[in-house]
Amino acid sequence: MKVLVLGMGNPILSDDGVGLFVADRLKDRIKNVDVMTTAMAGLDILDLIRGYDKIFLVDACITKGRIPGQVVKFDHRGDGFLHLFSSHGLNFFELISLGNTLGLEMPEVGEIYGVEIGDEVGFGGELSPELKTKAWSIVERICADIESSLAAEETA
Amino acid sequence: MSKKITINPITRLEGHGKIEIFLDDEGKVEDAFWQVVELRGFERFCLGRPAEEMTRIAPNICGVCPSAHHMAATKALDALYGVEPTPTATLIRQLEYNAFVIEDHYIHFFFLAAPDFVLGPDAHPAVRNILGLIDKVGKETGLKVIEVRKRNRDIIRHIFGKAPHPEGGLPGGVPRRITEDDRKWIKETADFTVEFARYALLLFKEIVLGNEKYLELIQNEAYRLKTSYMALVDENRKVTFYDGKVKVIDPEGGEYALFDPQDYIEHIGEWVEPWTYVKMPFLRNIGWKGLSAGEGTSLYRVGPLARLNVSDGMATPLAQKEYEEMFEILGGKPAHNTLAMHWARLICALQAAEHNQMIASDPFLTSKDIRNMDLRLRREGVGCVEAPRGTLFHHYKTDRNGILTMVNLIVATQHNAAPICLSIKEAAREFVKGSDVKEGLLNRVEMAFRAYDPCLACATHALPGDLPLSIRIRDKKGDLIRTIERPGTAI
Repeated sequence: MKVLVLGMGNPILSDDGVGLFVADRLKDRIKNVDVMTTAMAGLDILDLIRGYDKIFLVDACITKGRIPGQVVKFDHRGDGFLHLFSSHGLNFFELISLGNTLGLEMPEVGEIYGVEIGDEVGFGGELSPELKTKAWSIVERICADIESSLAAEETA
Repeated sequence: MSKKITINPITRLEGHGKIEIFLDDEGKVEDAFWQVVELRGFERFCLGRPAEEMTRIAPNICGVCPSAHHMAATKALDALYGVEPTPTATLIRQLEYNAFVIEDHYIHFFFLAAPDFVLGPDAHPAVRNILGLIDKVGKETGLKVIEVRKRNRDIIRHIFGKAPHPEGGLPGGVPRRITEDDRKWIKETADFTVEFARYALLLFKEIVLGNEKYLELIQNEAYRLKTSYMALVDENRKVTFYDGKVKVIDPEGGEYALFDPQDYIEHIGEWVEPWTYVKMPFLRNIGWKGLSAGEGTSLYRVGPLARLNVSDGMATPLAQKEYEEMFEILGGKPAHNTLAMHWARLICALQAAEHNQMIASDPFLTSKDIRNMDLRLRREGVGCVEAPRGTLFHHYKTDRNGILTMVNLIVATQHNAAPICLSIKEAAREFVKGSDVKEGLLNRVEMAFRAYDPCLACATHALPGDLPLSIRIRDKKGDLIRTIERPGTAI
C-alpha cells in the first residue's frame, strides 16, 4: 500500500506553516510512508496525491473554543481548515470527488489532522513562541496516531 | 428606508472579500463596494533580507499566481543587478511563463467561469461547479483540462524546481538548461496545448456564443464599464506576457501613455479609501477622480481584455484570427464588456501555447549559455510582467550590500480594485431590485466580479480560505433586518 503524509501550509505565514513543520519532522520516522509538504491546495495538489492508496493530511486550523497547539482529528468536510480549501479551484474533498468522477487513481483519505493556531496569523518565517514550545509534542502525537492507524489496518 | 446587502465573502475566489450593496428607500441600488480583509506586513517581512531571497519568498504571497510573482521578482533582480539575461535564458523564461499563463487561464475558465454558462447562472450553487460542468460536457473534457495543466506544470517544474510555487529565479539567467531530449517532450506539450486551446475556444463559441441568451448577457449594459486600459505590449505593440513596455489607452481607444515599467511611479498613483485595505491605483497625470467611469476617468483596467484592447493584435497567427473575430462580434475596439474577459482569456492562452510551439523549435533553446554573470548592484530595480490577471510590478531598493530596504508591489487585483466596485454596482443596479434577492440574480452580480478573476490574497496579502456566502441586509442605521446564508461553496 502506497501511503502519503501531506503537510500543508504557507512557509512565510508563521503558525500557518505548522503542517509543514510537522511533516518535515515526520520524514524517515514512519516506515514505508512518503512524506511531502505543500503550500498548494485544491486542484493544485492533484499531481501530488494521484497514485497513492491512502493519505494523511496535516494542516493548520482555526476553530472557536480550542487553544493553539491542540490537535484535532476531523472526519467531516474540514470546515475551519486553512488549506484544505482553495476557493480558486475546488476544495480538497471535491478534488477527490472530481478524480473519482474522471476515473483517476485517487487515494482513500485516512486521517485529517488539524492543529489549532488561533486567529492571529502574520508574516513570519518561524512558528510563534507559543506553538514552538508545543511543536515536538504535536509531532509525536500525530506520528503515533498515524503508526497506530496503519498498524490497525495491517492487522485487519 | 435605505438598506444594505452584503455578499460575504464572494464564492469561488481566493481569499476573503465581501460585496456591500446599498439600497435606497425604494429598494433600488444606490451604491456598491467591494471590500477585502488584509493581512498586513508582507513588505516589512521582506526588509533586511538579501534581495535574492525575493524569488523564493514572493511566490508564497499568493496561492493563485506564484509564477507571476516569481518572474516579476526575477526580472526585478535583473534590473537591480543591471544584468540582461542571455538569449537562451530569455527563451527558457518565456517558455516557463507561457506554461504558467496557460494553466492559470484554464483553471479560471473551466473551474470558475464556465459553470455559469454551461450550467446557467440560475443553477443551484451545489451543481454550478466543475463537477456539474463535467456532467454536462463529458469526462473527456475534464480529462483534457487535467492533462493540459499537468503537462504545462511539468515545464514549470522542470525549469524552476517545483510547481506551482517555482524557485530558483536568478538575475541574468535561469537555473537549468533545456537539452535536446527535453525539447522533444516540450514540443509535444506545446502541440497538445495548441490543440486544446483551439478546442477550448470552439467550446466557448458553441456554448456561449451559440446561445443567444448568453451573448446578450455578455453585451448587456450591466456588464459594460467604460474605463482606460493598461497592459504590456511588445516592440510591435502586440500582446506579450513576459516583457515589454506599458501601454495605456483612454476609454475611446486612443493611446494615452507608453512607458518603461521602471517609470511606473510617474504614471500610476495609489489612492487610499477608508473603507478598503486595497490601495486603488489611478492614472497619476489625470488625478484621482473618484469611483467613476466614462470620459475623463482616471481608472483603468488590466487583465486579458485589457491586453487585447491596448495592443495592435496578437503575436501569433491563430490567436490573431480569434482576436479579429472577437472584436468584430463585440463591435470594435476597445471592448468594454466585462464578461468578454473570459473570451480574451482563452485567446491569450492560445497565444501562449502557439508561442511555446515556436520556442520549442528555436535552435537557441538548447544552448548552454543560460546565465549572464556580469552582475553590478545598482541598488534599485523594477520587474514587470503580465500576470494572468494583469500587469504586475515588483519594485525593490537595497543598501550597498544588496539587503532590501524597500519593497513595493502593485498587483493586478489592485489595478482593478476600483473598476471591480463599479462593475458590481452596474450589475447590481440591473439585477437587484429590493432586498428579496433570488440566488440566480445574486450570482449575476458575482459574475461581474468573477470575470476579473481577482486574487484577494495578494491584493491585500490576505490569508486564503473558504467561507460560506452570506447576504446581510441592513437598514439605514446599520441594523440587521435580514440574513441569507448558504453553505460553504468553495468553487
